[in-house]
Amino acid sequence: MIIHIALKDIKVILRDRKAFAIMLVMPALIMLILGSALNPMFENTLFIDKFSIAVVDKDESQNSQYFYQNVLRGQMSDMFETFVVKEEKAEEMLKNDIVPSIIIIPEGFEESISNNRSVVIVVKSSVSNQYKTGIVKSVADGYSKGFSRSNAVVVVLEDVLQDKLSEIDRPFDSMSDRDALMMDLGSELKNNLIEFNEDVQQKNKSVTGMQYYCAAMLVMFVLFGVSTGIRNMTEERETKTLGRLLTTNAKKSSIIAGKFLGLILVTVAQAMILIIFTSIVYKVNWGSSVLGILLVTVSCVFASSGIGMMIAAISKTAKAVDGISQLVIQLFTILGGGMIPIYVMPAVVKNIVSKVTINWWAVSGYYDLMLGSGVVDVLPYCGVLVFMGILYLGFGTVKFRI
Amino acid sequence: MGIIDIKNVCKNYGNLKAVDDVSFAVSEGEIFGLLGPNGAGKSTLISILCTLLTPNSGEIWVNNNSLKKKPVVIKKLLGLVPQEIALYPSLTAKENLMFWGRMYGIGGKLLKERVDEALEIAGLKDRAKEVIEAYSGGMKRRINIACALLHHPKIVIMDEPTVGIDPQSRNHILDTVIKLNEEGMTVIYTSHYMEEVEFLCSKIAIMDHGKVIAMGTKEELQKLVGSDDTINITITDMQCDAIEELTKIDGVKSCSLADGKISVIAQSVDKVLAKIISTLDDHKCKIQMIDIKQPNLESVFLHLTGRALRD
Repeated sequence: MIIHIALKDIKVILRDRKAFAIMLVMPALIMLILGSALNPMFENTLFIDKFSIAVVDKDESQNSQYFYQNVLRGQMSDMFETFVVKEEKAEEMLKNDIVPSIIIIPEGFEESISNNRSVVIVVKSSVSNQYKTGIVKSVADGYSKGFSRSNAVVVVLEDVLQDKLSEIDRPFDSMSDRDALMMDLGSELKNNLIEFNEDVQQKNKSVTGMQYYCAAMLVMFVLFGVSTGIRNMTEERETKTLGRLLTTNAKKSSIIAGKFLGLILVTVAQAMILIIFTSIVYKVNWGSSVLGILLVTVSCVFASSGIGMMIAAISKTAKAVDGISQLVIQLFTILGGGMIPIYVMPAVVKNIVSKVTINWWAVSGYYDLMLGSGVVDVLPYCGVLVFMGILYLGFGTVKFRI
Repeated sequence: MGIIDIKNVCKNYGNLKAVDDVSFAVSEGEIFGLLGPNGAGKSTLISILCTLLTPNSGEIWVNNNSLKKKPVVIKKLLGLVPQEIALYPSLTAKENLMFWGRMYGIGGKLLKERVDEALEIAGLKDRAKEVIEAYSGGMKRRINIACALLHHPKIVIMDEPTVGIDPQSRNHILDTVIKLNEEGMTVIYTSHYMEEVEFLCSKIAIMDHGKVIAMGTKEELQKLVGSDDTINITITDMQCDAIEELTKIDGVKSCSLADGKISVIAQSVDKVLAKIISTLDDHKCKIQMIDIKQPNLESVFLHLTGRALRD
């Protein structure tokens, strides 16, 4: 029964040319227009001008000096300017927004390196510029991991050599023994170093305007897709088709479940078509985790369909559905950073209000995937979206009149 | 006990009594007519019968099953033809029928057979693959009825099935109702077209303001107004006081005005017609047409309520 209702709804939406235009043609065009027009804005802000960070060297050792001179002032000199200050001064500069972040090289930094222990570099950041602080954090994180992995490699080397040398208490009598030893060492080192390099490279990437707006518009048009579905539902209520369904063998719960399933299937298909289309035609990189993309999309659609059911429940007519949907979609899109990037918004919107919207969680999920994150990294976003969906759907189901 | 027993059913919306202490029984195999003007409570009563609304009080039994206790069993016995075209306009007639058949729990080969049968009843087999929105109003109504017959219900409830359609489709629908009844189906037919109810129904309940004001066979109801005749006069340039003058004429029992038509109930047309014409003439009313009818449900309604059925 549920499947038949869902399939019928899919058929009805597929035959609706207006819905087709709203769900697929319009988003493709708007993504192109917004993405192209606003890309320079992203290039200026996300590929950020050189900025200053304060460094507190509590260890004052040879290794801390090496990290400061060679990494921060050397390799990263294109990105930021660094200067060493006392901790109190650095904290004050951070508080007054003179620097977006401070890097603290803790005491025992060199000792940790010497004793092959994991290395920690502390980064303190202000909340006002998440992109700059993100870069600093990823650099520090990357190099901490780098040092830690190098230490791990030393441990591996010692283990492997000890095992092999205990086996071979005489000089290599053939080339094959030496080759085998070198291959073992080679593969162990490769595993550690490749992982480290990829990590650093991925973390330093940033999204383009086209990527940002494709994600933002995708979420907005998912909401529009849902509103088309619930408009049909309300029209069915007006024409008494839903009422007629209740005179058949279908129960109210089956009708709602069927409608919800149809809505989800249509909107997931809409989102996936747009993702595939933008990645082929607009060359948008949605990230390499297909499962992650699918998970964020399904969670976003679930939450959107939930809010759709809630709107359908509180609206008496199809016109009311249109009005409320438009309001919710526009409000969510603006507050969730879909129209103007979230980082230019006031702190209260950025840190609190935006997080009430489906858009913020879904776009953040896509954004992380675009930056190279995997399925596990986007699970928190998906969790929140599913939670929102359950809340909205619960309310909608209780209040929905047939 | 009939196949349907309705006892003291009430349904209120705030202070409005949409159905007010209604009781009647429908016998198996009959065509039962529910007649009344718009807003009389017919559709509300039908929604209660179809389990779409819960009554505030009263009891309903269908085929010895209590509506309160066994709504699922009752649903399977009923086929509802709603007043609205409750179909999916962008789907074809066949797709609509297939969908509704599945909703009634029919599947596989049987569903295909039932859909063909329903299309045959609707007389639209050759246009089964056209979308509903391309159909005329009458064709949509025929499919609307066909959808309610797919599961071979024991009772079909038709709520104003001929509203706004062409005469050809109307005749087709009336013929269909008779045919279904001949095959043993009990039919509850609601309408505010008294000609249809008169033509089809073996038993009629007249509703007004949520109450059943009269019930019986056509002949029994006509006895309520005796052998009075109804004179319908279509006029222009109506003067308000003309109605008052008409009611004063000897032999005129009642008089009403609706849609530019005067309905006069009189004991004998021969005795009053000349006086009616001269009164209207005195009031400078131009007579366009005079239609004389023997006692019918319209006159029964007028007799019982003082208003015409289409008021």
